[in-house]
Amino acid sequence: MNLSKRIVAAFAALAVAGVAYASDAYTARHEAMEKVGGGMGTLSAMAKKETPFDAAVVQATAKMQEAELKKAAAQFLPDTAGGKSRAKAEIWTNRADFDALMQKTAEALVALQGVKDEAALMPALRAAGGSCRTCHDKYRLPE
Amino acid sequence: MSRGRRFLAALATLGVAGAAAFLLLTRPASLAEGAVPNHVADLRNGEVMYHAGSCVACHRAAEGGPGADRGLPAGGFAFPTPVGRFYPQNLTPDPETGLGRWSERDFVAAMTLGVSPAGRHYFPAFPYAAYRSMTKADLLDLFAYLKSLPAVKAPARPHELPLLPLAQRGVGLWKQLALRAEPWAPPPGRSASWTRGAYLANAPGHCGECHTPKDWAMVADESRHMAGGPHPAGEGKVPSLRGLLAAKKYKDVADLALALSAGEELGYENLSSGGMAAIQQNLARLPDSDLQAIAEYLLSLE
Repeated sequence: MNLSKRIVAAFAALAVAGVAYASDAYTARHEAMEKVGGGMGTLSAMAKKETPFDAAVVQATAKMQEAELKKAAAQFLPDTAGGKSRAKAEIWTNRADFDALMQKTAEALVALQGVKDEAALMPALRAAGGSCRTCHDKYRLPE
Repeated sequence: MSRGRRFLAALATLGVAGAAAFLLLTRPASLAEGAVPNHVADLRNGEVMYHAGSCVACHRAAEGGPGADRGLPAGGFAFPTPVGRFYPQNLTPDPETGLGRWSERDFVAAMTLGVSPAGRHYFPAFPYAAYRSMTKADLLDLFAYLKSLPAVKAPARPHELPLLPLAQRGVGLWKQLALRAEPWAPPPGRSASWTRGAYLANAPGHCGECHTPKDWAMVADESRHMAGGPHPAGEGKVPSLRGLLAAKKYKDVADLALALSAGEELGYENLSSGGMAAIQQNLARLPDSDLQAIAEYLLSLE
C-alpha cells in the first residue's frame, strides 16, 4: 500500500470506529432503558391489581431497574446523539442537570425496593415513574 | 409622460393598490354588539377549562422568573417554533403586565377572534382557532378563574420573529383561510359522555393543534383530523390519535383515561415527550368523568 492509500484506509477505519462507538452507546443504553420500562410494566400491573402483590418481586424488579438505569446513564457518551437515538442535544449542554435527574430516579428506584405492603406500592411507583417523565420531558425527542 | 415615467407611475399605483388590499384583507375583526352575554361566573368550571386547555403549559413563567415557584401562568417561558420564539401573555390579573385591566369583551375577542385589546392580531401559536369553538359560558368562567389567581408582575418579552410588525399584520391573511369555516361543533346523535369528550378535546383541549397535520398554508387539514404528522416544533413526529384501539395502544376507555391521568407515573411512556408531559399533568387535574369522556371520544376515532 502506498502512503495515500494508507491514509485513506486509516480515515475509513476511524470513521467506522466512530459510527460503531455512537451506535454501540445507543444500543447499550436503549436496551438498558427497555429493561427499566419492562420493569415498569410488571410493577404497574401489580399496582393496578391486575397481578397479585408480591414484595419480593417488587424488590427484585426495582433492583434490576436501578442497575439497568445506571448502565444506561453511563452510555450517554459525548457525540452519541442523532441517528435512531431520541436523546436531545441538551443532555450534553446541561449535563449536570441531566445527571442530577438520573440520580434522583435511581434514588426513587431504591425507595421502591423497600416497599413492603400493597398500599405503599402505588405512591412509590408513581414517584419513580414521575421521575422518568421529568427527564423524558426535558431530554427525549418525540418519536 | 415618458415611457419610463409611465412605467414608474404604474408600478407605484400597483404598489399602493397592493398595500391597500393587504391592509383591507388583514384588518383585525371586532366582536359584534351583544356577543358577550350577562353571565354569573362559575369558578370551578373555569378551573376545569383552565386545566382542559393546559393554559399553563405554554403560559408558564420563565424558569426562576416571577410566579414560577407557584406554577402561575405569568408568561416568560419561550415557545419555540420553526419561524421564531414566542413569549406568551401573562395570564395573571396584574393590571400592568397581565389581564388585570381586561374586560370580558377583551377576553372573548382574544379567544374567539385572535385579536388583542389593542386591536392587533395574535399569532396562531395561541390556538384561538380551537378556542373559538368554546361556549361563551365556558370562556367567561375561564376568564373569571384567571382573574381569581394571584397577580404576578411579569413584563412581557417581545416575540423573536423576523419582520415582526409585518408578520403580525399578515396573520390576517392566514385567518382568511383558517377561520373561514364555522367554528367546530360536536356532531349530533352521540352519547352525552362522547359529546363532552369531543368538546373538551377539540375546543378547550386543542388536541388538533399538534395531532392534526397542517396544509401548505399552515391551516389544519381536517381531512386528516387527529391523524398525526410532523412535530410543530420542528423535530420528530406527533403520533396519530386515530385507530388507537386497533393498534392495541390502549386496552379500553378506562385504560386510556388512566394513561391521561397518570402518564409515565404508571409506565405510559409515550405520553412524556414532545411537550405531552405538561399536557398530561394538566389533564390529570380534570374530574375523572371528563377524562373518561375524552378517552371515549379518542378511542372512537378510527
